[in-house]
Amino acid sequence: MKSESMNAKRFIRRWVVIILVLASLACQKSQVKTQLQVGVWAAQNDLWEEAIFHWKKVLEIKPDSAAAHNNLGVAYEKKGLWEEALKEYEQALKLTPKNTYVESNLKKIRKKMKDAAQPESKGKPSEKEKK
Amino acid sequence: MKFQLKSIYLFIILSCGLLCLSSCLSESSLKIKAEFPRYTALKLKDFPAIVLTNFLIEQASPDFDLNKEITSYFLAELKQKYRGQLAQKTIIWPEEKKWDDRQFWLGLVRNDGGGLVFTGTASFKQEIRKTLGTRDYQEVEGPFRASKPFLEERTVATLSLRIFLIRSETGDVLLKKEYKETRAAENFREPMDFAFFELVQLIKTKLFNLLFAIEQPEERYLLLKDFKP
Repeated sequence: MKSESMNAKRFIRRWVVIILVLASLACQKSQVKTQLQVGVWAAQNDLWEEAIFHWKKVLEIKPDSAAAHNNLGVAYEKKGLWEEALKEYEQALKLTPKNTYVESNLKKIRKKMKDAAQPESKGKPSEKEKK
Repeated sequence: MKFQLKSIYLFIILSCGLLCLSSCLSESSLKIKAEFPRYTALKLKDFPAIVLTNFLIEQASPDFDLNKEITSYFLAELKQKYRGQLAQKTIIWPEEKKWDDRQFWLGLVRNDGGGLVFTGTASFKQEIRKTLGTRDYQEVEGPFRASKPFLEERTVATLSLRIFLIRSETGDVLLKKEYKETRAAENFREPMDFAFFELVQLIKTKLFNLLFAIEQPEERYLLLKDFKP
């Protein structure tokens, strides 16, 4: 009877330790999530400097966060820092290959940069009819 | 005791399952629409002055001073947007044109005080074109109308500009853009200025959007959480 209760206590103690370890990991994860979400909130409210600060914080905690890299890419693009934005998107895609959202962002910035280098209206005059 | 252990075990599994489920069900991305600046490799802020030169006129009507109209138009527009110094200069275009040659440009724009030279070529023509149109007519009395094809004439104006932005110190071509805009009008008596100003405005909008990185609404995705590859 005594040994059974000892076993149960040991079992519970073991699980408490496991739960504590998991909780500390979850805490770190939730910190990442919170910083990410605060950044998104700031971006939604046009506070891009604030957003950059929070997403950089995420990268301090978790350097391989694809979400933070992608979001930083959007923020840099907004600020006109093209090379930095491109780097962040590429890094995000490296971390999550085939992610459609990151792919879409990267495709858009590449198209934008390519379009700017091409001549406009050449061979395709935009005819404006005036009646 | 065994029952107690089992219930603890079950509780842990269930809570883990719920956590996984909640994380799977939550949104992973957010589509935002914001004003993003257009891409431009050229930073006008880096240049203390812009020197606007006369354009090389490739084709124009003798009764319309295209060069004067273009330079005065761009000078006035640049004054509104550019905060640095603006100057004008007349250059003599040589017979042979080597648009991508630095020496060619250095020979033309040297000693312009470290500024950016805004120059280019232009052609503006107006011609009458016949187009097939249809006109409604009533053959017999009644609600039905028939359409009859006929040839109608229109004046079509075309403005082509090739813009070069040159670094005067080195002769490097920093920006080379070609624009061609066409406008058709039914009114024959309309003066050339009408078509010219409408077309040059279209070109200016496109060029200035690029030069001054004017913002435009675009959509991007923000990620709310990390995905596992």
